[in-house]
Formats: sequence, C-alpha cells, structure tokens
Amino acid sequence: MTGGLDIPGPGAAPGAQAVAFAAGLIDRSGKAPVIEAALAHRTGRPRPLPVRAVLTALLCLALSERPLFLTEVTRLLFSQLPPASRRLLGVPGTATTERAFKAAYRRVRYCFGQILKVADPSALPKNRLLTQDELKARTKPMTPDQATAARDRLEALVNGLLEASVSVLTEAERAAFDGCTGLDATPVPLFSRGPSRRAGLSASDPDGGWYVREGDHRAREDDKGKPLRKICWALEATIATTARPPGAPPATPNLAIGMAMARPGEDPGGTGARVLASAAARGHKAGWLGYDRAYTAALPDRFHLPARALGYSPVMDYRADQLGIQASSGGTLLVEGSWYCPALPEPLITATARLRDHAIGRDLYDQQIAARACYQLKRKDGPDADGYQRLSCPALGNHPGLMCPLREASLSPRDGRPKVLQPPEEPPEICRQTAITIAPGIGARYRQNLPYGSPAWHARYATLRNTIEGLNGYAKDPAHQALAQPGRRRVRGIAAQSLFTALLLMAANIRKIRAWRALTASDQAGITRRARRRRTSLRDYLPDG
Amino acid sequence: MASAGREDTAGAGLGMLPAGRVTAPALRGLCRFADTRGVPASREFWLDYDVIEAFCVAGLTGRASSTRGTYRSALYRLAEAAHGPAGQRATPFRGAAAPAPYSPAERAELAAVAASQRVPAKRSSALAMVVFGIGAGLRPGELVALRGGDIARHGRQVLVHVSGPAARAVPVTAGYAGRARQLARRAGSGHVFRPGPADRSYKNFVTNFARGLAADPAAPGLSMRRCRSSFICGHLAAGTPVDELLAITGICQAESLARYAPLVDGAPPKAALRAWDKRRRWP
Repeated sequence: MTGGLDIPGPGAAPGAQAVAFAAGLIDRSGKAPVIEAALAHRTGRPRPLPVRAVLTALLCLALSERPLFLTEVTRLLFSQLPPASRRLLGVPGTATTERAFKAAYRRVRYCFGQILKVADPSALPKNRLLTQDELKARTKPMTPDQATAARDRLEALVNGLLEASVSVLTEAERAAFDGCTGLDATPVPLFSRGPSRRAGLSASDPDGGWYVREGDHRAREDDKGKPLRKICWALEATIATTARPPGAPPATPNLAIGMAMARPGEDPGGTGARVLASAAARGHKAGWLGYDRAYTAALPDRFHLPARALGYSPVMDYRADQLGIQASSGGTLLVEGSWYCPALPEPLITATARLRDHAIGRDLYDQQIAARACYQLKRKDGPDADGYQRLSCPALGNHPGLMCPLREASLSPRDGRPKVLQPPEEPPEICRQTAITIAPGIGARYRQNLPYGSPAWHARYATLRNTIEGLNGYAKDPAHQALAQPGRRRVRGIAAQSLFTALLLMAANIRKIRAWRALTASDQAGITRRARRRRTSLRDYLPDG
Repeated sequence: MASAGREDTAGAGLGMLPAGRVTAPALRGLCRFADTRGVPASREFWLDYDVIEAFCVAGLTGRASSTRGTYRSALYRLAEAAHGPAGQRATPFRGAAAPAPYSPAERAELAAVAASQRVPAKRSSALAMVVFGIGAGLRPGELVALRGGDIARHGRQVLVHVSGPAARAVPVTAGYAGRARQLARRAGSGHVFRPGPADRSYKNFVTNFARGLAADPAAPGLSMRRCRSSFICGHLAAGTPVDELLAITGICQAESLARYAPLVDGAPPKAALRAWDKRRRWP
C-alpha cells in the first residue's frame, strides 16, 4: 500500500501495536513538535511528559472507544502500557501506588493544559458558576486579533489531526475521491448546564451556547413566543466530509476531512468557509458541495463566494421565502439558482412554491421543472478566472430549443419546440444582444449549477446530504465514538472540546477505513454495489405449519 | 386537487368551444399539456399553432401518428377561428452537398457515349447535354429552352445567351466551344436539345432522356447536376473571380458556392464568400 497505513484490529486495551499506530498518526499530523516549540522555555524545570505522549494516549482511548478522561490517560500511560510502548512515547516510570498515580495525573493534567494554552481562543473562566460581574472580572484580557490567531492555531491543530487519519488511505484509495463534499454543522453537547436566569449564574463551560434544533440554531423561542423544546447547551462542530457521486460504486470510504467549532448559530457561513479552505489547502479536490438551508441563508461574502473561489460547485435547497425569482441581471431571471429567459412563464416560476403549498402534485411539478429547461440561458463562455460568465438567449444559435418572436430565425420550422407566447414589450439586454456577462456577485447566495428540482439535482443533493448526516450519526453512535455524550468529554472549554471532537472524528475515520478494507479484502469486485434491502419476501406469506 | 384545478382553468381558458368526438379529448390533452408547460390559461395562447404543434410532438408521445394527425387537424380547425389560417414557414436547411464533378476521363467517356447513340437526334441531344452542361453550366430547364440562335460567336469566344429568370451570357469553355458552334448551326432556330414537338414543361424531361441513352453499364451516368458541378468546380479551380463566376452561373449569393468548395483545392473558404456577400450588400 503506497502512502497508507495498516490498521491494527479493534481491541479493548491498546497493545504495543495500537500504541505505535496511534503514535504514528500523531507524528503524521506534525502538530506535537509545533506545540512543543510553542511551549519551550529556556528557564525552569523541563516538563517530564512530552506532548506527543498525551496526544497519543488520548487517541488510543478514542480508538479503543473509551471515555476521554485525563485519569484514563494517566492510567494508560503509567499503568497499562507495556514498557516498550512507554519508551516509544518517552513516558518516565510507572505509577504503582495511589500517591504515584496522583503525581502522574498532575503531570498529565499540566501537560494537557499547556497544549490547550497554545491554541485557546476563549478568554472566559471555566469550571465555576459565576455571576455576571464575577465572570467579567475573571475574563482574561484578549484582543480580537489574539482570539482570531488562537482560533486559527486551534483549527490548524484539529485539521492536522484529521488529515493524519485520512492519510491512512493509500494513494489509490484517495485517488477515487472526485471532490464531492458534504458540509454540515452538528451540536456537540457540553458537560455543563446552561446559564441560570433565575440564579443569575453563568454556565460552568461558558464557551458554549444554547443549541436549538429549529431555525438558525440560536432562537430559544418560536415565532409565537413558545419556548422550543429540543435545546441543549452545546458547541457546534462544522464538519466537511468526502462523498461519492450519486449511484457510484463505493471506491473509497467517506471520511471527515475538515472541522471547526463555534457557538451554535454563530457565523455558520464563515466557519464553513474556513473548514472548506482548510480542506482545499491540504490538497483535497474541490467538486460538488452539498449543504443545508442554514448555509443558504449565510452571507454570500462569508460563505458562497469563498466556496466558489475555492472551486466548489454548490448544491443547495431553499427556504419557502427564498423560492421563485431570486435575482436579475440584464433582464434575465435567477429562478431557484439558475438563469432563465425573462419570458419564463409564471406557473413555471412558482412551481416549487405551489408544490410546497400542496397546490400542485409531484407529477405536474416534475413536468414543470422539466419544462423550465428550454428557457434556461445557454452558457456561452466562462466563468473566467474572475468568475464572470457569458450567457446567451436560448432562442439563439443553430439549433435553438425555444421559439421566440424576438428572434426571427428561431421561429421555423414549426417542430414542437416551446414558444415564447408573451415576449417582453420592451426587450431587455438579453433579448437584444448575442450574450450578456453576469458578475459572480449577482445572486451569489442562491446560484447553483444544477437546475433546482431536476432529477440530477435531487440525486446529487440527496447523496451529499445523506453522506454528511450519516457521518454525524456514525460519530455519535453511543456504542462507539459517542460524540453526543458529554459525560465522556469532561474537560471544559472550546479548545479541549475541539481537540476531543477531532480525536473522536479521527477514531470514526479509522473505524470506517477498517470496515471498508475488511469489506474490500474479502471481495474486491463484490463491493461495487450492495443489494438493496428487500422489505418483503414471498416466504413471509407461507402459511403456518 | 391539482386535476380539479386544471379542469377549471381549462374551462376558463377555452370558453365555449365545440366538443366533438375527437375535439373533446384533444382539447383535454391540450389543456393538460399547456399546464405542464406553464402556458398562460387563455384561448389565445392555448390555440396558438406552435403550442398545438408542441402538444402533437411532445405531448402525444407514444400515441399513433394517425392519432396525432387527427388531433392536429381538429385543433388546427379551432385555431383557425382564433388566429386565422396556419401560415407556412420556410424550413431552413443546409444546402445539399454538391455532386462530384466529372473527371477528365469521365468527360471523355461521356462524349463517347453521346457520339455512339444510334439515332442522330438522340446523338446531338446527348452531346448538347455534355457540351452545354460541362462547357456552360446550364441548368436542365435552361438547356431545354436553348435554341440554336442563342449561341453566338463573340471574338474568339462562343457565348450562350441564357433566357429565363437567371438570364445571362455564358462563355463556353474552350474545349467545348467548337462542338457548341456545330450544335447551334445544326439546330438553326429550333431547340438544341430534343428538337421537335415535346412537352418541355415536364420536370423530368432531361432526366428521362439521359436514362434512355444506350451506354456501357460501367460508364458514368449523364447528369446535368454533375455537369454543372463540373463547370463551376472548373472555374473555381482556375481562380475565376467570384463576381464573374456568379454572373456566368446565375447564382445570386457567393455563399452558395461554398458547397462546391470542398471539391476544389484552393477554393475560397465559406467565411470569405460570406464576407464577399456582405461587401456587395453594403459597399
């Protein structure tokens, strides 16, 4: 296997092989030496426990599906590891008595705290229930630039770790990825209650926020003032995952390739763009990008334009108030993400809105979406390096798909093509010119390359969305990584939680790769397509006896 | 719910229309089709000839062509009341590829075939096809109308004065000039091709004659299209100026010569011919 790594089999207690594998992944991430360099002091007693050992021990715990407790790290490093593994990690001695264990635990805690100190973007005090004034008094002074720099260091750390888990794939396995990416944010509940309004006390982990399932994940009450029920004190992990084209055979496992954490609903577009930029910077291909309506509503300058600049082609859905005409340029209409002729009939413009209002059925809707295709502007050139695109009227060219009285040559022969029955009385630019140029910023929030509602859009969107939601569920499986169980990640603060989440996603990636390799090793050709599950069988109807 | 909506709009859109055994189902189908295409619900738009045609082509897929024709007729009858008779629109099409010109060997063989006809009248008519086809590029109708008096000597050239819609004077190619004069002298004031009483308006007058020639089965068929193609390709190869070539061939647009260009090395490209047309239109 060129470039990849062999994965040791699953087991409860990490053996020498598992520790070597975990240490190899930490080394591949290249982050331990960076942290050591940042913590280096010319004076004082040298720190006895290396950063690499603590990170490796945490990864061992994640890989063996154990809670990420620092006591467990201490137990693993000082009591459970074989001598060869301790030597490999540079762990001094063992802890055989309770007193020695406590001393070792202090060393582990100190080292972990130092790791977090390098990349903690939060100035808030943790582990205390404080009043507003106390919270303000204890908040460390930190400028926005310092916070941004620390956040960038934290994201570089977690994405470096994730990349190490992806690097387990061989070149051939990685080559099958064609750039399809799913992006989504998922709550990571915190081991803390939220701030109490009644007592006026802060949360013991004040870096979190209230996560609300509905809306933009922030509002705690619905439009009638009724408190929303699905709510928890959490951070929001924005995760990017690789995906396959619709219906394609599984040539590579779908892995998490990027991650960032933030308060729920806080700048989802900017966080998503940072995750995509990190993935692109690490050499992952940019292709179709699927995301949910939360990102559609983001500011174009924060998300959509950066994503396009990175080379991604968005595939998105719209809220009810975003349907129909979304923008216009030179007389053309941006209807649900695509540019159309200004004479697009009204029933075709409002087709999706009427479907959601149950005014029309699915069959008629599909036919109307198909009928839109004739009115779609033809791509003449571009988009160029600046993102400008040349589009021309659909009734132009040697074989126009549309008949238009404003384009005399398109009117013959009478062969069943659709005809513009109500051309604009004052023809706009698109009706007068051969082509028009559309700037990248026009309708940037809504533009997408696939016609909304078409079978191609449905297949692509469903695949990308199911992939990312599947990954979220996979990482939250209580029997394995249990990302949604805050009791298994008790150190507070966004830095610790980001590190824990990254380690759990690494473990989820490794679990996926192990399962995928086990499947392919048994039958290389047989994995091309798994048979659909059959819901019924004639045998179910056999009479008793 | 959706179908009920359609029925209502159908009624509102078409108003009172005669419902016959054929018309009613055709109208129902047209309404449904118009709904899927987003055509505004109005009699004016639904009975547009292009909408009806689109319905017959795209909305009746899977139906027998006879059914489509029946529906089209029924709907056209209704449309006639709303929009008047259906006008004809010319179908734009690419010019057919030009027929291959005769090679020198084929031309010699054709002359031999003409000379070997048993009846003298047939012999001279066959020769007239070769001489005025390859040597002057006449169209079949022009050959049929040609009389001996239309051919005259002008200095060292022999000119053919063509009458009809593309009237012009064509200099006969040097190799055929002598034979052209002989044929003219022989015809006198009568027709050069198939002299004597005949229905000259018959459209296959020349083709049927050529088909009846006695010839070796391996010999090339005598065709006025190939003869004219040989004449035009010969001039293109010789570098005759475009305006002069248009004048002697009776062709209006230089772009029409483009179909012959692939057969001739060094012929002007289509873009150049098109540009020539533009220059002539807006000097």
